[in-house]
Amino acid sequence: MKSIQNKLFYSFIALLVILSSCQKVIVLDLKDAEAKYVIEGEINKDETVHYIYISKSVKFSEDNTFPSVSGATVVITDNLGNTETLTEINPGKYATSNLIGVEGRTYTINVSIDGKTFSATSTMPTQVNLDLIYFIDDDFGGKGGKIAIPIRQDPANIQNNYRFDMWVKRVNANKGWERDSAIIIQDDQFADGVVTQQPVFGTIGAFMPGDSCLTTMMCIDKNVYKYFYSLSLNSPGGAATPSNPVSNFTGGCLGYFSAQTKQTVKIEVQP
Amino acid sequence: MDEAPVYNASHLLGFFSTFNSDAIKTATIYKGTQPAQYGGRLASVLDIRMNDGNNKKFRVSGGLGLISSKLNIEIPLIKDKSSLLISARRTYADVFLKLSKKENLKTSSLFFYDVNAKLNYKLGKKDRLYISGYFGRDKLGVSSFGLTWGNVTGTARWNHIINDKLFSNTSFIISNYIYDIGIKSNGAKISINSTLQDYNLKQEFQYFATTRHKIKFGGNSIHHSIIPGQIEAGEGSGANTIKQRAKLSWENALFICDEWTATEKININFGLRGSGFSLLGNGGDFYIYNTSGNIISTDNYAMNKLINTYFKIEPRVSASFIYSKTASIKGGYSRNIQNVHLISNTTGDNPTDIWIPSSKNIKPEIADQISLGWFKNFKDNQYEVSIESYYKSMQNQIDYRDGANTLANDLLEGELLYGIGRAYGLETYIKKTSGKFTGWISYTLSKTEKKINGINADQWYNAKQDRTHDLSIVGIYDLNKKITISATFIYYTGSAITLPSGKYYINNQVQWLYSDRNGGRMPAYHRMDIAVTWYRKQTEKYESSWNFSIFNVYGHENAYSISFRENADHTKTEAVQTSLFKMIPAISYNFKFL
Repeated sequence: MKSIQNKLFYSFIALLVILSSCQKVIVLDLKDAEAKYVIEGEINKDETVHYIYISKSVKFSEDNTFPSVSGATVVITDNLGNTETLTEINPGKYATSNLIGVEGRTYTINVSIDGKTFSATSTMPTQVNLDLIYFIDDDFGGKGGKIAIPIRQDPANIQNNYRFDMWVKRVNANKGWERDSAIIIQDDQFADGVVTQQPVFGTIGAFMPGDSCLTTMMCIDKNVYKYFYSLSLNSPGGAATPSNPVSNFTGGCLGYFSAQTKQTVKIEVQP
Repeated sequence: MDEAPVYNASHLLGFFSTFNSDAIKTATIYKGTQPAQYGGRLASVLDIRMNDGNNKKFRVSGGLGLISSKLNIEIPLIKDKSSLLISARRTYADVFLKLSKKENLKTSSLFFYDVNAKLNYKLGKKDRLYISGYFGRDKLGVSSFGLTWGNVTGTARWNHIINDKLFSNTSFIISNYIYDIGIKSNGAKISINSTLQDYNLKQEFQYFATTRHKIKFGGNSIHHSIIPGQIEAGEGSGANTIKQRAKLSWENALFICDEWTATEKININFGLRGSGFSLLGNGGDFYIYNTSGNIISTDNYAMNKLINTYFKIEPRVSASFIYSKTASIKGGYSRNIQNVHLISNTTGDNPTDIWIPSSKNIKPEIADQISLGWFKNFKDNQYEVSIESYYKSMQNQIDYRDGANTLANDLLEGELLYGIGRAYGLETYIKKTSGKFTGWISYTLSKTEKKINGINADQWYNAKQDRTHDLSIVGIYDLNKKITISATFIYYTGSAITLPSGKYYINNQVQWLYSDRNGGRMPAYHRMDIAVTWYRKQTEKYESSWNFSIFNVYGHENAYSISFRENADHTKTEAVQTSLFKMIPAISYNFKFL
């Protein structure tokens, strides 16, 4: 529903912008904050190799090169007592070798860097099956444009949270797969226990017949949803006072740790 | 508006005021110490009274313009006894959208309309009855999305003269604010809507005890019913209808104040307002949250059962000392309580902001204000000058937690954080009231801050409405009997906003790092408007004028929003400002049948 709210706001702004507006690049006097650690990690269902990425933030005025953090001690444990210390396979990239992701298990990560400790916990939800991707006409996107609806039966009486990644391969462009940069999340606040028909609104533009669409649906826990929800509020069109997303890490770093299920569907868009 | 509160007082994102100047008789703003008959708000009160209408002659006046038109009719129903006033406006900027080649713009809408009506009836020498109403709606729509919002108010007021010393005023007031977001999905409609409904019964007496004491006393009782946001989903929309129970509350107040002319030079006004605010049961569950926003207890209360009541005393005193024929000093202290709270996390005015009553979690907002001012007239009252200062301290201020879910959330109170606020400032004003050239300059220097536990590392931060400088200059020049030229210049400090203080990479993209809440500023806002009014030949029956105006003459690009993006080669980040309403010329034709 959040995405619908965003879409509404986009429409609203689009209308005003068309009516009379202009954009220009301006120079603002920005304060620089102290660099912070950024930790990103996922435990995926049925997999045994999982990756954790550690980097640092930079000043706003600097180039978009983010220093990776080497030499950290990263340990992941599940609630059955399985534990593994991760190996740094590339600078800033840490991996498990044999820790299986199982629905219902709770995973805890501990990261030690330079005497600082960060930790987070995430429980892998039971997978909701992504049945198919269905396309409907997009009224806003112009002629022939379509938007995707990931169809699945939401289980009743439990809170379910979903996150999506989407890629498109345009039929007439020789660009390969393009990733939609939007944060796409859905919950069942308004659609508990129904066959979900909520479209996903990305920022990449409507699908056209002949395009290929790759959609990954992740079932995520409440705290990870909260993280992405609060991150999405900062996106253009959010219009809310921005703030750092609510992380499930303690210790004062940025980022998230998600134990999740993951399913991918690839489909060609029909006229 | 005729004693009825108006929620969200702007049309089209603040471009037009809710109040139609044709229908307004008086507008009094109480910024310093408010008299005790006003209550329920921490901020200043704008007391707007509608025109009563002409009970002698039938009159029609109006204006036709490019962007909007208006019509004003005064009908005497019974000569010298009763009259009716109707005043209406409609904008039609969206007519131009129909000319667009783009299909989705042709079907877009963007307009507002409003209607004011007032009936006035002299029942006898001692009794007068007024019935007035306001109805306004804004509509914004793009293809399958639509947003409607607006106010409806109704007031019935009976003035009765009991004897030459005692007057009575009895009012019954209804006030309603709604918004509705409509989304068409798969051919089915989903609506997210909110309603705020007040019923208010008010009794006020004015007692002219002696020539030196004018006493006002009375009370009122308001029933509030608020649906903060619910979902109505049509069949096949893939969403569930979630009806919210209205949040019910009952607000009662008694007040007394005395305008005492102590000496020829000293006036003292003291008052006391006692208010009680009760949260009422609605058959649903009520939750109590701990400081982390988790539910610690749940209670169910039957319809209209008293849950809890806050009793508050609001003392107010102000005094003026007229130390010469043209100069005076005024000062005052007041306490104000607010029990229906506006909770907003957006950077601008938003029709979908949420109002919520005090509860076991939300305490009444309290403001204590002191003010001091100096007033002087110069050159036979041709010039009026004033300098006023104030300091306001606020308790039980409210803000959202980071990442709060604000949409139709039944557990909204768990998303709130509480703290304190403070505001202080200096207001200067100079006005030239007569001659060929008239006008005024007003300048305010101020600061408004909040300190909320859990936000900005528990440190003070600028409130979103904080404006360091606020300047307005208005000049009106009568060139001759036929032509009047006017110009307005406005300048104010940009809103306090949260700007990035760094960036990082996550989820395959660059994200901004934030540190200080509202530590940055939008660029300053300024613009100049000019207008020329050309009065046509006046006959006994008809007068008319043309008005040519230009909004934002020098086309300054004022920032509506600021966003951040990667530059063209994806190596750096840049700030982009979007502005609206650059320069807008307008013509209107105004007429009046005498």
